[in-house]
Amino acid sequence: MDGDRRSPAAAAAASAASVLGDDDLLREILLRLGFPTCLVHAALVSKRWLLHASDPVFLRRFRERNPPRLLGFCLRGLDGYSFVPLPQPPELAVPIHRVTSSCAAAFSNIIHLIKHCRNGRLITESFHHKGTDRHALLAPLLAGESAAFPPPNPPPSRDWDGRAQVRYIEVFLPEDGGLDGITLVHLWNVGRKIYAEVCVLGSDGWGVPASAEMELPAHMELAAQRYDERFLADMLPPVLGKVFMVTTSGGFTLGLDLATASFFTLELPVGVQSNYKLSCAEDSGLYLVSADGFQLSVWLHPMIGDDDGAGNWRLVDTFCVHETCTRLVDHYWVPLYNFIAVDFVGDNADFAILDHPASDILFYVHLRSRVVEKVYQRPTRFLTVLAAGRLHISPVMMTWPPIFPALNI
Amino acid sequence: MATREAGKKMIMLKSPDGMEFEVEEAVAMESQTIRKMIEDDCADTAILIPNINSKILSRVIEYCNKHVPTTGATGAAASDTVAPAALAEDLKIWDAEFIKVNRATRFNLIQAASYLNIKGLLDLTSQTTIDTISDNSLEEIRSFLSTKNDYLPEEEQTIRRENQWAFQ
Repeated sequence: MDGDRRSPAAAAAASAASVLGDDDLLREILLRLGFPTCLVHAALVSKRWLLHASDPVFLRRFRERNPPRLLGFCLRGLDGYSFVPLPQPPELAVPIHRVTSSCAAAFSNIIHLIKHCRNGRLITESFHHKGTDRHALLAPLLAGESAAFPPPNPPPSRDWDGRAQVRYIEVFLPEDGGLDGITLVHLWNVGRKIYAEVCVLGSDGWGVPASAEMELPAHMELAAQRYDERFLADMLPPVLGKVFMVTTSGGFTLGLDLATASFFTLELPVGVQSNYKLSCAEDSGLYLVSADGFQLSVWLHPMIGDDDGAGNWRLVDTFCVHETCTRLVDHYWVPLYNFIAVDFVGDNADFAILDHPASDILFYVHLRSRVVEKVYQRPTRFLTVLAAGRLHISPVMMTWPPIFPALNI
Repeated sequence: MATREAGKKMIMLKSPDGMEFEVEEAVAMESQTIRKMIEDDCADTAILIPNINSKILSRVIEYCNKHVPTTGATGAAASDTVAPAALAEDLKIWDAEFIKVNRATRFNLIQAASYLNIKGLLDLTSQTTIDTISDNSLEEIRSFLSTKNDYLPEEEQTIRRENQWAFQ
């Protein structure tokens, strides 16, 4: 018990040294820092701490334990885009402040659309006076970095112009949000045929486009004939290297594997129509979060093998948010079709952003704990927020991982 | 094996400074290390807990006592009348009081929680320790740990620049 004879400060220093000098314990403690900001601060204590903080195995555990948070989202209104910060713990105040001010500056220029957001970066599209689109890659978390511009889009093949009934041009960022690996997808349909061209940006410009085509399955064809204008209702950002089309035929989603440029269909869980969004699961599975009225359902598909039957969907959780949502809404006129729409789902179905059109309110729901928060009330009725047939919300996630340089230690 | 209170198995824990603590088996099994010993039948009489003095061990037992799931004869009453959310809130307040200890004790508790493999206690103690880490407290942490800043100025600048989102 010699600890009692020392001064309290000396005793504290001695026990701290024995804990923090122990590599295993130091890692356990660093793991509980909770936020990338704190991890970067801790890495600055000494090179030994940096060595632990930058270890790939440690970083993977840290991410599992502390999934990147949503800093806020960009919302398109009548007078352009604005950034809506989310209430988050003080450890994220600095990055949120950065994004808020960078976005305010960036959005003072006319941006037609934010095409995709990933890893704290966003790719925007502006119309050029010559009628061409111009894309810009913004990094609002990095004040010192100016926008990067990918080269102009390569044109799609000739069928596109003349006969296409539905056309999509989407640009998606790679996982790290960088310029290299940006994927351009042209997708269109002519009658029963669906075509796609996939092009990836490399260091020496756009690669050779890979093309895919598919004849619609019979059960989809009927819907396509009946609603050919809106048969393909939405293209979702890539999950697991695949983009999925929300179709109005219901029951199915049309998938496009970006790596192999091949189409496939995936049966949806029974009862799911078009009010859903997807996200990836840790072990290569696919999460689907759907809403029916105010009933939220979280489904998981293993995405293994060729069998894409609806039976592969497992209902992970289902709950009703009607009571919480209406409690958070002061008053609103209850329309005939009162419902919530799923706007975005975070990785691993960690959280979702819900839209309640009747009250013009956006909700954040943490899916595991079922805690619902009101995060945004649109100031006026945005009659034209629908961009390309959908409400345009672009979520800005905290960047990950931190960038630790290799040092001579 | 000692038994007390109708059917409750008791376990004897010994600290290296010679103190003995009689605790319910369920409480002791909050520690995964002890649980494994018991399950492997290595714990017939008393279990010696090396490296953890009696003062710290008694605090650890206090923690486990509070956190042992309330099931069975005594627990049923509690969970019938108190909602789980309220129970969790109560535990949170209790934890906050529990961890109001000096730094030396806190680090000793981290060591104990790690050795005994008590996840909740390790979370609580580590969390409190690192709550103080921020950009402004780096010098203080270094001096407390008697660690030198072994970064060259340009190395530190590189980290700050690459991860500028973490700094004002």
